[in-house]
Amino acid sequence: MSPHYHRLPTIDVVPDDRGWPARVNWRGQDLDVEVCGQWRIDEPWGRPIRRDYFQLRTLDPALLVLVFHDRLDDSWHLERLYD
Amino acid sequence: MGVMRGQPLGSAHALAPEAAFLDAHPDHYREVLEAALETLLAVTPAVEGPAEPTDPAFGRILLGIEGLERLWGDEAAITRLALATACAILPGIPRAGIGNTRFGSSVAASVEASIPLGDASVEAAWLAPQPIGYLPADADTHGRFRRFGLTRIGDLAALPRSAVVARFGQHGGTLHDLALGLDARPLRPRRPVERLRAQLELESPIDGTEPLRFILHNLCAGLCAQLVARGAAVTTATLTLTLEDATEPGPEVVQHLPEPVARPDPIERLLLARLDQMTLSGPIAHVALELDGRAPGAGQQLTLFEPQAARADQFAWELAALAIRFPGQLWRTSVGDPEAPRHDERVHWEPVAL
Amino acid sequence: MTGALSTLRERWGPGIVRLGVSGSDGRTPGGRDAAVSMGALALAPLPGDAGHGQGSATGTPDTDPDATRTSTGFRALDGLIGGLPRQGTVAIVGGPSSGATTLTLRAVAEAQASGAIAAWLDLPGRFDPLEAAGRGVDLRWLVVVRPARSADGLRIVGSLLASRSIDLLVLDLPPRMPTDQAGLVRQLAAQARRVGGRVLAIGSGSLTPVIRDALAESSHLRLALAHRDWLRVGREVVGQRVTVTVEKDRAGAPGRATEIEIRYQPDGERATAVSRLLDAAGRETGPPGRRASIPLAGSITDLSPPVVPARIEPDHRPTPDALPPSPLEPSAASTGRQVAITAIHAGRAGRSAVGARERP
Repeated sequence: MSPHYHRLPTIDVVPDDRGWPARVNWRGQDLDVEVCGQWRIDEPWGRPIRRDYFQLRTLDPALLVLVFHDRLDDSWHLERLYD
Repeated sequence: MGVMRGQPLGSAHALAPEAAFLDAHPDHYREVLEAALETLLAVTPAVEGPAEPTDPAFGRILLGIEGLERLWGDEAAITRLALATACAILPGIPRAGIGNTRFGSSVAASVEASIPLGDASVEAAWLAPQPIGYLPADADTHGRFRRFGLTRIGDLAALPRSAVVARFGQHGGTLHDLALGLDARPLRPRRPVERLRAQLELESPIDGTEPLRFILHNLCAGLCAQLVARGAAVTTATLTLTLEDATEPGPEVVQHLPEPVARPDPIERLLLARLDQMTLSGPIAHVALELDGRAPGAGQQLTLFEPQAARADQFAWELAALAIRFPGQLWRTSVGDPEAPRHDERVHWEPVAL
Repeated sequence: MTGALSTLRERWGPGIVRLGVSGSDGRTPGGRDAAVSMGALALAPLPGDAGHGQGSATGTPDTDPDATRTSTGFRALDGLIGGLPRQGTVAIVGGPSSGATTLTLRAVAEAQASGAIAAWLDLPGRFDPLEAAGRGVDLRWLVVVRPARSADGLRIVGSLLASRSIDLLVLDLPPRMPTDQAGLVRQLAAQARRVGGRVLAIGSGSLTPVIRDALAESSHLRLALAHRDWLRVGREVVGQRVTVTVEKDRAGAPGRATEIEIRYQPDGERATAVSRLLDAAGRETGPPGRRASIPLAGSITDLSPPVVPARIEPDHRPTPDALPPSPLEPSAASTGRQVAITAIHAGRAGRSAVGARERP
């Protein structure tokens, strides 16, 4: 079993000018998102973490997800699907 | 001066060359504190305090004082009594403080104060002007507090929690909770409350065990919650029924539990199963339930009696057999450090294997 | 304790409930019965929920084919369907953020509290142990199956059912499940019926039709979840209201519906909710977090039958009952007045050790 299963999946995000998500791709659908919350985590010691978290809401389908932008490698990941 | 517990002597000497260095006698410290804890049991059964000198909380004793007014008087009187008891045994001049929570009372003891009775907001209001140094954080975090200009506990409490977590990590959230007077960690008594008992006098006697189930469910739940809040678990349950027109207590069920139990479900199950085997000769007018509790010894964790435990072996063997046929496809999960910033540190995945 | 006593008083009127702490006088009750074997007694059924003052279930006992039921974890839903049956297949369908997973996790937690061992067939690969633990699932009595091929997964869990190693199986079905596995889904449901086990199948609305039909045929209870609206504090979403409709129920009429409320704990608070669970198991992980008392915007439409209390309560409490009360519940008392004595204080007065030197 690949250890990749236990890492958080990536997600396709189109950011706006601020670097905040404006659209995400969910199961092949491009969806506009509303940013409901955002915060930054910086932990420089040990294994460093530099992430910007965003709670995102879509209209149709009604979806609520938590994604983060990993500033270390400029990747976007889906941390949580609120279900 | 920067001298701290656990610091190498050479560093301490460099910081405070004029300091007097005394020989340590940890056995003696342990004995003295044990004696103090034992003596304080005469004041209240709810006494908590590590007796091990290497414990970071060594030297701090927590006493639960609810419900003692009839015995000793108001809180001030109880505190005076506890302090006098401690002073008779402990060196130096112990200080006492009263609070609604563990953290609050500890800070109150440092300044010999009494936090007004109330909820978290009351605790928070009292904590607000206190120095932020009272919060249990490492030197690095306190340094960051200083750099952010946070000097009082209230300064931290006034910040949005999300901001605190973002800047100080998940532990910052915990400190934020403490600053807001939110500390629901129960006092874990040194000695268990020996027995808790609840009785129900029924104006209209009940027939049969069906209505009794409802009563038992609620009595069990209530008493278990009490015991668990005191850090104990149940070892024996005694159910006593008094029948209508009986002159003395009637059928009694005494159920010993194979392991201490912290949940009401197994206790209910067992008592009801025993009741089902009994024939009652009349309606029930009085129900009494008594639970004997036991707290864990130092370093001991209580196991919980669970129905699944009886099938654990079968479960494990079946999983192992399947793992041979389907390697790498069966997983056991557990929570690691739930406050770790990384997902793979918060949860653990272990493949099932022989 | 207050809640339990209130319940008793409500039910039994002015009956007097007395509490006490027995002294240390060594008194032992007379007439002790001999200890009885634990194993068989541990499997005795718990008292049912009916009669606890919450109103009766809609299914009448003589029409309900199942002996006992367990809670869904949501009181309003329990009031509607009388809890989930211990045997058979229940389908829980809904879109990706419909609350289907939360409902399933809570149902698993309630079943485990009644003694069940569970397996989770995680075909989409989205099982989150932290979320599960936060909703009350006991991970020690759960195996997660993440197969390389879904057919293998169905065989693995089929073996677990057949051997009666598990009591409860969760099938998390992905949208694009191969249609040739419809037969396996039916077989699993049939096996559960044969061995007296239970299957909870989570399906998103976009299941392939063949799989959806197989599930529909095999389940005797089908609940459809639909997101209704979000609960917000400012801009942040902290929960949602979900409509649960009974689309199929062999024990009652379809079409009934109720509303449940799901609260999302922010990451930090989800972590501390889990910490509380670990605290209950004896591991110190620091003070538990708070649960915010959040004012709701707008009114709640209660679709529950009249016997159920009108107020819909958020219900994401983790079981077991052994946890101390949340510090932020309005009616919760503090954990108790405490006196702290600092015995060794590096302060102004008294002798204190500045440094210590161990004897070699």
